[in-house]
Amino acid sequence: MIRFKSIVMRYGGFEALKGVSLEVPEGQLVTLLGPSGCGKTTLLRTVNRLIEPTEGTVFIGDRDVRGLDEVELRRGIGYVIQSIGLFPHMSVLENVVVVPRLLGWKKEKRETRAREMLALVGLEPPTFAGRYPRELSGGQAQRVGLARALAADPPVLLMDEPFGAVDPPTRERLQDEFQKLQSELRKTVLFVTHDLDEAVKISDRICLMSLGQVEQYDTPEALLRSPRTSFVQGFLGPSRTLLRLSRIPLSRLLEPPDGHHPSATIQHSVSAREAFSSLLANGLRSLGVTDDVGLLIGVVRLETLLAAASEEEP
Amino acid sequence: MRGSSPEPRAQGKTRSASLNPSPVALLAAGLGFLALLLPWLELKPSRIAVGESFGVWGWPSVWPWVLLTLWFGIALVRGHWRGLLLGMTLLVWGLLVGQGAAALLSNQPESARVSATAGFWLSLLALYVGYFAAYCESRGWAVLSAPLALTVLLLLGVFNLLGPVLEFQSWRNQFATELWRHLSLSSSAVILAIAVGVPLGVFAASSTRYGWVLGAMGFLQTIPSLALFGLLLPLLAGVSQAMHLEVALALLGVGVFAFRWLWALSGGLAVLLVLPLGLLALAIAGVWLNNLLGPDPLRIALLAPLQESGIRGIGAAPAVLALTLYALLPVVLNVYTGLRSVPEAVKDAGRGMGMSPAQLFWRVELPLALPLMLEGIRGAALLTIGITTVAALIGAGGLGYFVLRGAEGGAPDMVLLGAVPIIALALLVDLALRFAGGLLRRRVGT
Repeated sequence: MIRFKSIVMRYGGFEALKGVSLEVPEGQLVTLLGPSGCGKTTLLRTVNRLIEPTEGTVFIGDRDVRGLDEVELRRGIGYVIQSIGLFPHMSVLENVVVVPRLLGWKKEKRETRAREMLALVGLEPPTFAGRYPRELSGGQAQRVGLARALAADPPVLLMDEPFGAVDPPTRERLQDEFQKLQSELRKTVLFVTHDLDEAVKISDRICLMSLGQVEQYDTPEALLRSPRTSFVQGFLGPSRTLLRLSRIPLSRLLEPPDGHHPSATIQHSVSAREAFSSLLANGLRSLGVTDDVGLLIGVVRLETLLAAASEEEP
Repeated sequence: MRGSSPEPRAQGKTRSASLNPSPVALLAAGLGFLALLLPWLELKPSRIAVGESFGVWGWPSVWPWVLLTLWFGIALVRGHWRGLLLGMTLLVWGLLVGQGAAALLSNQPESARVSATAGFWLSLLALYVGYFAAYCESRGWAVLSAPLALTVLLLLGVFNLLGPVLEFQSWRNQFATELWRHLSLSSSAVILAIAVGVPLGVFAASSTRYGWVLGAMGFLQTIPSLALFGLLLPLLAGVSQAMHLEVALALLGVGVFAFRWLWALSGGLAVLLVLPLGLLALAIAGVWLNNLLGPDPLRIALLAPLQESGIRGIGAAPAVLALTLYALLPVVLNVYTGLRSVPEAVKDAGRGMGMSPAQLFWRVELPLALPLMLEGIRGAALLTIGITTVAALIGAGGLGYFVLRGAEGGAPDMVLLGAVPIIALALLVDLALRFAGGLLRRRVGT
């Protein structure tokens, strides 16, 4: 658990953070979302004391981070930044074992661990262990960054726009995989992004910030359903209905097959938003839904989707 | 007809290329032609007398015609062929000179000398320019032809009758000593410049407040070397007579502690203290290092004035000291630039993962700055090898000794005996450090 208690950060006369209080529950993924300059990265960096706040206290568990040795503290927190944060003069393997090395693990133990981590993030160790960062694509470099942060098995992860530097299709794939990983590992994650879609997709809770203040701290569903301030409303924009669909699993809207042979089908594991796009693209009113092996298990109708989107709308 | 179109285009390209030869190669060929019109050799009754000049057409030989044809070839061909032709041109150039020298000396007394003049040197320049063109075009095996040709020429001994080589033969022992001295003087200076310059560069890069370090180094660089020698001479002479070695060492020891204390109190005062003490330390270390590496014996005489330990107003002390000061700028500047160019994100990642400032420096910043640092050391080494020549003026020896003696005695061949090895030395060191830098770059991947 990470807890911020009235964090104020002043640079001269400028207040970057104006008394932020926030609690990130154990094992949850919380995104700090907002336009650039809203203070989200500053807030993130107070956790591992790369920035010391002017006022206020950060707790990890029930311990004040200022009471801990800053080097020890950082070694116990996974830290991921954009792909340029890899050490260019170290191989992928050397990059991944940086923290275990700092912690004084035995060579054998840390290399075994590094190979496990590479496999975990989908990079085959024999192919990638010996490569250098310049020989990796943006997506691969980002995976290495994640493997590096996870290597010492820290309970807390700090991620600062980790997928910001890769192209959209790769970003989506990385998000999917990270989401799957997180559902198994259950780390306490603080994730900075300015990308609304990303935040809605991966978060347990979203903290929307503006000008050094928290505008709204809520689950994605609640945030999209009832924006509390006009800033939140403006930031979410007109696509928030569509975004709500992306949080609804298609399986919840399924109806039994009606006997007709559907002219188009979609996998049951996708979100309602994708089904909606597919309906629009094909100009249809209903879609067949298949299971993993391609068997028809039901249909989803346009009316159901529309109803789900407008449900509980004020 | 899509398949056939690339072929004519490719043909057209080669044809237009052969009509538009590389401008650099054209320049080389032009210089080569011009050289053939100038006198190549000078026959003198003795090593200091004024002589008579001869062009390549002055004695019956087929080589000038071959040379003429080869220069035409170099202007016209491209790629690997140019490299190959250059090797052959170099070979013919050497054979022609050897033949000419032998022909001119055939009926002359023992004291007669043959020296190379304008045409010879211009041809060498033309070959260098041509070699540059060939090197840019193809970095393959063709570039090896020139070193190969030069080796063949040296093995054949075609230059053995030329003045500088005869000078070398009569000064053989002295030459070896002075070459050794030149190397020990320059390497002492470069080693000290690294020892002082790297920490200074790290210090300058550690905060924007310390930018004045670079300014100070730049100022040192602007003092002419002769003026610096003139400044150091009376200063060192006075100190070396008045101060005992044990006093100097004690002063330096106390200085280190006083510096730490003063630094906390006032940076400016501390710098004021460190300047004279630093110069004293550099002078002592420079002489000792030079004696350790060079032909002169190392002497450490405690309880005696500094001059008993070899630190004097003339000789190695001012030479190494001045050379070190000159070599500082390239080292400090490149260490500074190297450390400053480490990406902020990389440093942030290191810090965020729990590296202490020392770990961050040794594991991340230093390895990433290393290629640039090596560039600085290369620059310092080349600079030092060149200006060590001047060290002969204050009695420190080195290859400058021949340049000086030759210039004083009006024997140009002797000047060359000093100058040519200095150039060769600089080129060799440049090549070696470039190669090392390339390896490092590949390893570090920047």
